[in-house]
Amino acid sequence: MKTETTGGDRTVRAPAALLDGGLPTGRSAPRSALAARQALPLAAALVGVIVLGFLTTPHFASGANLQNIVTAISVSGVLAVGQTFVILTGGIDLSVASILALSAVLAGTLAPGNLLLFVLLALAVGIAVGLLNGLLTVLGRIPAFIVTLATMSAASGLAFVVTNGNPVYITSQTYIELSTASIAGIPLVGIIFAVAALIGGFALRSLPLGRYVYAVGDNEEAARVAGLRVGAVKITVFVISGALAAVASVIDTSFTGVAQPGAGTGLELDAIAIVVLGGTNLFGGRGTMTGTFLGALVIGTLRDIFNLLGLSTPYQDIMMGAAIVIALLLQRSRQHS
Amino acid sequence: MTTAGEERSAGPGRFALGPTLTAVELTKRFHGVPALQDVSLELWPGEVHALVGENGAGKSTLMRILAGEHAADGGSVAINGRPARLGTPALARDLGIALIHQDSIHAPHLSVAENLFLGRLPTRGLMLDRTRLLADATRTLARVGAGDSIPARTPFGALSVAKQQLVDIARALTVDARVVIMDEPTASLSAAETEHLYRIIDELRADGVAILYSSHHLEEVCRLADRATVLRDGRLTGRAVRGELTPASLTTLMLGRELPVTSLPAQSAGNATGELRLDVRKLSGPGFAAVDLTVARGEIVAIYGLVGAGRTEFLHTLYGLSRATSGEIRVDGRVARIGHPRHAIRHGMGLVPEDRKGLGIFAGRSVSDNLLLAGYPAVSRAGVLFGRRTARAAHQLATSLRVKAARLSMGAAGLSGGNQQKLVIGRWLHRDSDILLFDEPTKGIDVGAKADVYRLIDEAAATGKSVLVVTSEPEEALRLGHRVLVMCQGGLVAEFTRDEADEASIRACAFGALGSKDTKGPATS
Repeated sequence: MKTETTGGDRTVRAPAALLDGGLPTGRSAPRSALAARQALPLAAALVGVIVLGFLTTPHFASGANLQNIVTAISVSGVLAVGQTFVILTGGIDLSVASILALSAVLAGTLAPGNLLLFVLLALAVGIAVGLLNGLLTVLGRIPAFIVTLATMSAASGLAFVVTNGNPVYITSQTYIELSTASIAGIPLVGIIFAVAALIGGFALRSLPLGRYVYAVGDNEEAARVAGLRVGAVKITVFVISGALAAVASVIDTSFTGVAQPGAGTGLELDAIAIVVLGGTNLFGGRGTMTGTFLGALVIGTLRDIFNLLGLSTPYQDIMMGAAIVIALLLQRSRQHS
Repeated sequence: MTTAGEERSAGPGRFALGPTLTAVELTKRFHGVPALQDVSLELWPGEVHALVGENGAGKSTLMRILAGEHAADGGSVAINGRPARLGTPALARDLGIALIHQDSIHAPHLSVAENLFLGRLPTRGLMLDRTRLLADATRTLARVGAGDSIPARTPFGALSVAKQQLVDIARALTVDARVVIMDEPTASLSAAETEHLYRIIDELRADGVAILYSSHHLEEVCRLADRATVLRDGRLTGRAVRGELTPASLTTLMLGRELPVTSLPAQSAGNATGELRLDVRKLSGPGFAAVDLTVARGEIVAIYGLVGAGRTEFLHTLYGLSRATSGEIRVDGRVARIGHPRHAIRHGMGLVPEDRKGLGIFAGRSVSDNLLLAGYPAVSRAGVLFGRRTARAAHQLATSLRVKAARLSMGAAGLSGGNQQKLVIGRWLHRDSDILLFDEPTKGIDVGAKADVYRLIDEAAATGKSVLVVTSEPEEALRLGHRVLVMCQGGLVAEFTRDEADEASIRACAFGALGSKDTKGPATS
């Protein structure tokens, strides 16, 4: 059993002094210690991967390469932020990559020359598909896995139908420059990811909605008895995931300058891998946005090292799979010790 | 009464060749915290040995060590005088030890027969021998008197909790266990089923099986056990043999102090003002029909009834967890339409459910989350939860509830049942709910926490809240209720004021024996 905060299944007795004087609030020292303990193995993994980078590749520490890393994880990272919400409720969203493609081509077709309009259109599409996912899951009582498998297929198909399979060219120069813009040396797209993670983490920790997300994932029936709007919470997380998929589509399109119906293929699995690597329980209720953020950095750095080593994509995929399994096994053994 | 250090020189009569099981100075730690320290125990053939203690006293730990589910950190176990290794459940089973759990693990979609013989299914060649499986299963079920009531082909998950437990016991018989360990076996059984269990225990005893038995019902222990071992905080605090066993003596050993005054059946008269708050008229639903009842401000109404009388269904319907088929619920004189718990909560209700694990507690979430989840908007400022404010709110609640937890940020799974129950109660106190619905409020919690829960219920009523308590313990109904209603087969059959009620009559009514005497009319008395 995973023990996030508990000390096992038996009664933990407080020292006698605490019983009369009340409980320590667990607000300052204990909570931050706890958060640190959870994030520690991931942070260690990140340091390990960075050291690996220095040892194996000469260009690893160059500014250009660091920018590459940040840029490369921005798309799957943003997807993972949304995915974290869904998985914390005990659901899953397989449709994020298809939402990315659909919102890119729809927005690209309607507003190839206007960044702001493109963003708004993409968001509208992402939110609409997310809403559909949520409504089908809640009102249709279909498992999230099946619902999003269906919308993944349908949205992807629709993206091809809309464009006849052709790429849509972006004419807005501002938009194309988005991919290379940077603030204080940090790529703008990386900042978008960081801000998404920051807001997501804040929402999970400090908004009632975030606490409800955890509660629904921990015990849906008890959440109902406690009077939470379980259905509304589930719909909201799918909408969040859809909206962030749209944000990811904006980033992805700016890299290539074209909106492609086949964009983002397979990225849903990357996003899920990041979330799980970040320590979030696939059955819901446990996990943190800090974990997802660090998980994205670890995966991004690994990919970068493989690139610098000149590994071809199929080999990279094999290494990636192995790395994820090893990371999870290490996490598991640590929890049991 | 012997003290912890002394060992009994001889076991009880007939089979006294030597103890079946001898455990010497067993010790177990979890994360460095001692759960069991130097506990020794002998189980003799044909004896019922009760294990008594509060939750967290180490009973379950000891039982699990003996059943091979936990490995002891120190001490030794001998079976029939020979040293034994009990490292895994399979090893323990091979040595003839069977554990019947509070919540054992099964395959709910497989049949009763398959669950009985899981891991040892009869085969013919590579094929499952269905004919033999069914025949064996039916024979085994007949041994526990369930040959007719539990068809071997039904899916295990379709059975009631009580019947599942019978299947568990039958399963212990199939392995020809010489030591049967029962952890709270009667916690979810009705009176008739409990009687049946006692008969089975008597038969096992007559066969020379040694039985280790834990229960919170001290009267049950005194009636059933030949000997009792009492644990407190993981240590052995005393033993008693038949003749010395009384609930009072056991309580003293368990708590290390006299029984707190609050758990005695004496209480201030009700503070009921007569002002109606909850008025239920001819409510019918799944498992109950035409229930009329009222609860005034400051009043505690107890509904006593056997398991299966329709009490939980009634409460769940009141709370919007299931649909009423007819009837009316009025709150403060106005008709309340309740189709979802949210509606019930809006009308000021709060449910403390019987199924704490399934419906009450968020095991993976913190103490603080568990207390505040239903009331986060009230704690937030501009929609944001600030650490200091939430911590203060949770801390105040936890202190007034006397929750024993190391930290507010620890997971609720690490708390005892009693402390978990306090979290669920605290959730509604935090929201200041006016109508509190309790379903078996002290089920599976220890004596100390029980007194705390009673205190909380009394205090809630004293501050003007309306309380409805459903219970299958007559003492609890009498202790808590300003009025006691009796439910039997889906209907309310009798009503007593506090002064009229006594255990014999409410029990009789619950069994349907005395139904007509005090037959309830519209409750206006």
